[in-house]
Amino acid sequence: MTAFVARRLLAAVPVLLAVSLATFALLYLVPGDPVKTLVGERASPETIANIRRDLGLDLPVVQRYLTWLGRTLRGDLGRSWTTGRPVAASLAVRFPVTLRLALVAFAVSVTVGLGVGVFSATRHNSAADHGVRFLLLLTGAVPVFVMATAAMYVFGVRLHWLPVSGLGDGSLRHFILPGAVLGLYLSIYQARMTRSVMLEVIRQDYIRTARAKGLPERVVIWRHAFRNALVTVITLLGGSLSNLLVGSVLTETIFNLPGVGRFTVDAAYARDFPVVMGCFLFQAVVFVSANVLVDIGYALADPRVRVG
Amino acid sequence: MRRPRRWRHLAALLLVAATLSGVALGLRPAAPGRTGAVEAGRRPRHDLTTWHGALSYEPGPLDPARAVTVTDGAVCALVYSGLVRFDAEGEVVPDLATSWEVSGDGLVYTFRLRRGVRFHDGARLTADDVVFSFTRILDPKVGSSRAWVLDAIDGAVEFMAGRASSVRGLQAPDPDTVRLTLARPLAHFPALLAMPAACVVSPGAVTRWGPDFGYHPVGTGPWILESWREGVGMRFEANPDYFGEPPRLGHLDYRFIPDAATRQAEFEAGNLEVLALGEENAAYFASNPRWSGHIVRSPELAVIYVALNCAKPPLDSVLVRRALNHAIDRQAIFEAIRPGRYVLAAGSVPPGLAGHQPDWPGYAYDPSLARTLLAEAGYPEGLSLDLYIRAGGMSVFCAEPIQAELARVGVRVRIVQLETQAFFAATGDAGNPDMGLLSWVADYADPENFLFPLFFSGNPPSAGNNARFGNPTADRLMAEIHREPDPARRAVLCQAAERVVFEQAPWIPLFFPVSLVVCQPEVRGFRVWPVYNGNKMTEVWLEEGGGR
Repeated sequence: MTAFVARRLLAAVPVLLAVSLATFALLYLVPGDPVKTLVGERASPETIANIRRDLGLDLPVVQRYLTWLGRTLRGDLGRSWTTGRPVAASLAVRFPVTLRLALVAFAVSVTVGLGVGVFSATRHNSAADHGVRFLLLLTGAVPVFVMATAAMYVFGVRLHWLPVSGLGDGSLRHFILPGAVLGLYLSIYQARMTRSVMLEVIRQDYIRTARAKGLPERVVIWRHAFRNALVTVITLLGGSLSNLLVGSVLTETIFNLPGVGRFTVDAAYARDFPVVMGCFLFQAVVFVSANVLVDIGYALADPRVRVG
Repeated sequence: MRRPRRWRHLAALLLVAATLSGVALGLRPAAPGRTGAVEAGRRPRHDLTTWHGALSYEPGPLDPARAVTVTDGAVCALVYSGLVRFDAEGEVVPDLATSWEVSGDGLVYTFRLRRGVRFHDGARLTADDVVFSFTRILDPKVGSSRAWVLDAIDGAVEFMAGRASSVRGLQAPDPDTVRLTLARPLAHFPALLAMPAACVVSPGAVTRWGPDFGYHPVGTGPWILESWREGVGMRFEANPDYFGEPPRLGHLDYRFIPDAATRQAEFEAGNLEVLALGEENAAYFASNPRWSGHIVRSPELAVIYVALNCAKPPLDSVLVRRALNHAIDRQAIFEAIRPGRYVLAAGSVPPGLAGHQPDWPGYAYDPSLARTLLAEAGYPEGLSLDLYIRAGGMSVFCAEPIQAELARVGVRVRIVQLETQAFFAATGDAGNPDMGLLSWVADYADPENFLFPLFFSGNPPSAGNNARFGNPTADRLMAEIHREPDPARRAVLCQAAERVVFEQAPWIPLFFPVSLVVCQPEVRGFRVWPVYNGNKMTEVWLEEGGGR
């Protein structure tokens, strides 16, 4: 197991290098000059030239990348050009926000998605199956910002059950609305996947055997059918979790949660080079790690898969 | 035997994941800050001592050397004071200085400091602190992009270039006197001293915090920064030793809320005291009987315009530029998209400033004259132009009707909508656009601020001259405006300069915006200040019941 994890993490090194190179190239190629935002109006050409020099923008492009890489390898992600804050410190403030949102959303999506999937599959083509699937399809057709704003107005503005937006003191109640909205959208795909996989599994011979030998339906569905379906569904869940952990820009923006997603997008708009580079690198690390974890989970759920 | 063990592993993994979730969910925010200080829940209506506000973006460090945006400046005004400040009419009035004298040649300004003023850290303010603060802005090692605010001081240019160790014209003859000598007369110099860059900082705090000073600001202003949570908000407490009119509230609690719809929801939930209205919600609040009586309407010191590139064919022809001006029915456009929220512009100087010309009609709507002028300029078949606009906000609402109107006189406009940075790149010094939809907001309430940066031939687009305009008569008049100390004569000069400029039609001036702000019924004493850093939030308060 240790060897497996080590191998996977080692394999991530070229991935991270590629991500940093691609990010750097994109930042270099897109139009826009970060210095313009930094200096505001009426700064003299000398002042602008000085600032460019301080930021290293006057260096050849290859040297700029190597400088960044060298500093990063020494563990220093630099300071934001716009706020002057150390990038690593900002990520340390923002990742817990994204993590909490991701976990609430993930919990909601798994509960709804897998629950509805199994429910639909066991009532294949019944009115209940059609009804639940129609409801989810309808949810998926509404843009997330409409759903988010509606949820905000109903539960925050009108009923006062939950905070309208924001991180507040960081407690769970501030994550319920955004997590529920985000999780609901994720659950749509999970439910569809679970349902179709379950339907496939239920038609297998061993399920007929299980039923024939008189096992209660509950045991047939959950122990025999669901567990085999889970092997496929876990891949999807893993993907959802990795995506959640790199930040959900729309949800973070509408519900005003200062997570990694919004941090990255704001920095990209400002062409805040150290922040964009740091964020992408961090997200790549999170993504790769999450995938390694998923692989381990996968191996645990499916005896045919071996690790280490 | 294998299977159950595998299941135990998975169960264990899930358990670990659940525990981690629990830990993560229970985590307190990593940034220091008082729990609940920036609480999102409904405001307890009895807490009338704290102002709950929203900023649409997080300000940069609260350091006068680095404050460039309107929000930066507005927040700096809470913490710091300058020698002078802007009052509610935009006039320059004493702040840390009690009075000042100007020498006959307009070169020497002598400021008498208020006695007994203390910084938030307890240190007593002296004239040396003013010299320190101003020198810091000009210091090339500090690298402030706002050095231009003070570079008229004698010796500033040499100091900035590293050819002098101090600024000759910046002196503190005694602890209560600051003497500023200018290299050339500059009639609006006191207005520059009211800008955020000229705020006085505590030398002790600057030394102590170094590059992080902006996150531990120490000034002499009415509010002390109590906590700042990255990405979340900032809280201020009233400065008990403030030298001026003491704040009527105990705390200011600002949250950073970038999304307009979210701000509106928070306001409607009662969690924000005021809400600035935009295109999307002005009509909703104005027509809602619950709110319509609580809307504050104020003209802004700003102008929205289309810059025409005077240095690039075909817009280098004044006939073409005039034709474009005659082709657009601005009244009809803005009555449709911003009813009650605009004043039509004929020039660049907004109402409320000396030199504004309310009766000046500008270019009248006359499409047939526009066609004649185009033919006269050699374009009887019309021509094609690009109009660059910024993504978001009101740009597209304005650009599309303009495109439609110009099409009617044979000018085919391609609208190029770009995200902010790309827009600046395309319209800035390195770009060469035909037309750009732009705005200009006053740094100080003086007509010079709407003429010199925007039309002086020596100014590049990054300084404001997006039309790439240059005219010797206008240049000469602007030099006179800089020298002329008498306000009445200055206003006349400004009017003359504005007419000379607009005779050449470097812009299609659109409108002077009027802002609408809706207030909670408890809000008292609120108004929109003409200059963004004039408001020190000392005059507002909250009171239960009754009307406004």
